[in-house]
Amino acid sequence: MNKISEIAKCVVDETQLPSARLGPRFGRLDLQSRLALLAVASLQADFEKFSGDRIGICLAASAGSLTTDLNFWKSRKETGGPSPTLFAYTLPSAAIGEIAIHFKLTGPNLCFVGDGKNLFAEATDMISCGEIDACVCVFCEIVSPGLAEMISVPAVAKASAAFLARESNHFSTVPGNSP
Amino acid sequence: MDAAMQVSTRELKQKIIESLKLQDITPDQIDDEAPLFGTGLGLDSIDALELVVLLEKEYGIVIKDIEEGRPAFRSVKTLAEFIAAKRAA
Amino acid sequence: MREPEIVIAGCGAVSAVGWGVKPLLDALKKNSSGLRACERFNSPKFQSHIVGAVQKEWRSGILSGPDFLENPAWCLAGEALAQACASTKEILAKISSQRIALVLSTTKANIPALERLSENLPCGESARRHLRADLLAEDLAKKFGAGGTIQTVSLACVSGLVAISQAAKAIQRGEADAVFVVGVDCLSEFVMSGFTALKALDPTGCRPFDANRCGLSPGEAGAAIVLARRDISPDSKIKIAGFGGSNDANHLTGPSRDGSGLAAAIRRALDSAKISAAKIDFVHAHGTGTGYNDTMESLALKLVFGENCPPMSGSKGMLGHTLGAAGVIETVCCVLAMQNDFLPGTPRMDSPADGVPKNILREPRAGKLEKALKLNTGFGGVNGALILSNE
Repeated sequence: MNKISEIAKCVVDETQLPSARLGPRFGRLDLQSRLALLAVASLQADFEKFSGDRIGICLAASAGSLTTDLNFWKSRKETGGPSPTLFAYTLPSAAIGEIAIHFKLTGPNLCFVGDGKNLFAEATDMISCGEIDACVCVFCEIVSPGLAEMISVPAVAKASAAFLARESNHFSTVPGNSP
Repeated sequence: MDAAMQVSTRELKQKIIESLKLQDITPDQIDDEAPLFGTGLGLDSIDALELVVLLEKEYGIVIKDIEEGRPAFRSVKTLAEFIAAKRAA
Repeated sequence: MREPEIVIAGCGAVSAVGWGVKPLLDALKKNSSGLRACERFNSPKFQSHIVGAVQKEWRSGILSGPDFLENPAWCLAGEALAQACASTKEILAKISSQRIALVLSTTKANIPALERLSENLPCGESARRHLRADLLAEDLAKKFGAGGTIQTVSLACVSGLVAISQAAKAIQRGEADAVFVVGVDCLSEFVMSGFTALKALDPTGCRPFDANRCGLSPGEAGAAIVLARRDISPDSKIKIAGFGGSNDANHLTGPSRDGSGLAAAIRRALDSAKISAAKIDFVHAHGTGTGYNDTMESLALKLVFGENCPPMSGSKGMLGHTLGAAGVIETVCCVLAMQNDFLPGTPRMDSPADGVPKNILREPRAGKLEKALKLNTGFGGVNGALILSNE
């Protein structure tokens, strides 16, 4: 079987956001999507080496999209009603959509709510069974101070990303021989 | 048109920038007559809905049907004229 | 799909057409709609108050404890899973708890708790806990004796199909002998005001694929499927044959205009099932009733099947759009159709819109199904396609 390697990994937090510009509408994204996208961009991975439809995205969010959920729910009290933009981000998979659009990744996606411990195993499984050749893995921990109080967990805002890929150059030159 | 009914396009542009969270762009950089959607500012369907919210919040104008707003959303100029006409009505 | 073969051993469902799989089967056979005007949402704040709401008087009382108003996600999920477990009692008795995994599919979990907490309204501890989808999954696993791995899938409206695929993978990887797949989402002011902000609701109730379609109708449901390795449930006939996913990489809320993303997911599913498109004899569509979705879906089917799209229909005119539960409950619809030799119709569709495949079924009809294709798409450009086979 081909070797699957972690090509790059990266962790980002809010302090890196003000200088970040990823696409013309970066400012519109919710915090989770901005951090997730920034974490993936910071990998500086060479996605071009693979066909876009052969790259998957696996994301886990420790608190789902609850921070944006709360912001959206509060926005309903403003004149003009709740924000349609915020509603579009009330899904943890919104960040997957933004990553897919920015890097033109059209492969399959997985999105979990939880501790993200299964991310590498799921990504590796998709690669080793031939579904994809590479996978972007993202783990988001976004809990705003307001949400922290509501669900009794500490406030946090960070995202980490990794890029796993099949290393085809690990193939033995002799057909039928696995390294 | 009554001068009091005029809508400041500069102020409108500032409100659009804030509401749509456009980065690195000042009101002076937005051409009054440039298209808001597609090319130009490159806004999309979610932005159109956000502009509907902005009109109600900032100018008290309620748009029930998005189709009604479509011609007005062509440029900053058409939007300012639309607001002025609604206020005069 | 990899070996070993995975079968659907049992199902449970709570929806706008009743508490149980039987009322769902009846509604599918009668082509009836569970969409009704709901007083709770009769306000200018909402674009529509026609929804697929679960009727409280149907409660069978299997789950006692938290109030339906405060913790509907738990009640809907628990009730559906209780039904699925009851229907697979003999199979489950053969397996140790550690070999039973659980995969939860939801987009908003118990979101009514967020509404209550932000207004300082009383909210019980479990209702608050189940605001977090992963904790809802944990508590379901505990209550129903799933001692194996737990996953919480939240991939917009494709969550249900992905959850079924993840469950099948868990068995194929040897992590479990059986998996509880539970899909749940409840109606809430949160969701109603969100779709109102997106101007995505049909004020008269959704009409998927109809010439006059103009939006969706939210619904709520709990649905559960017990998946098992074939040797554990040898009498089960419906097999998970293949799954495919893709992303449009086009727009956050709008589907791709040409249907190529969904078509790619269907092709991946066909590859995974190792069958050609010609083998599919029924398509159960996503069919939300929004112009963009239904047009895109019609185009995707044309890309894959050309002019020979198999008979197709959709159930959101019956159940509403149940979001994270949609993939699971709509798969249950397909299972019921396959087990009872009929093809469901498309409730609330009168005359099909231009471009909709000519084989769309308005009314149910008798017929034996061997390979059914179930589709869902969602915000974030996500697409999913699941193939079931009846052997």
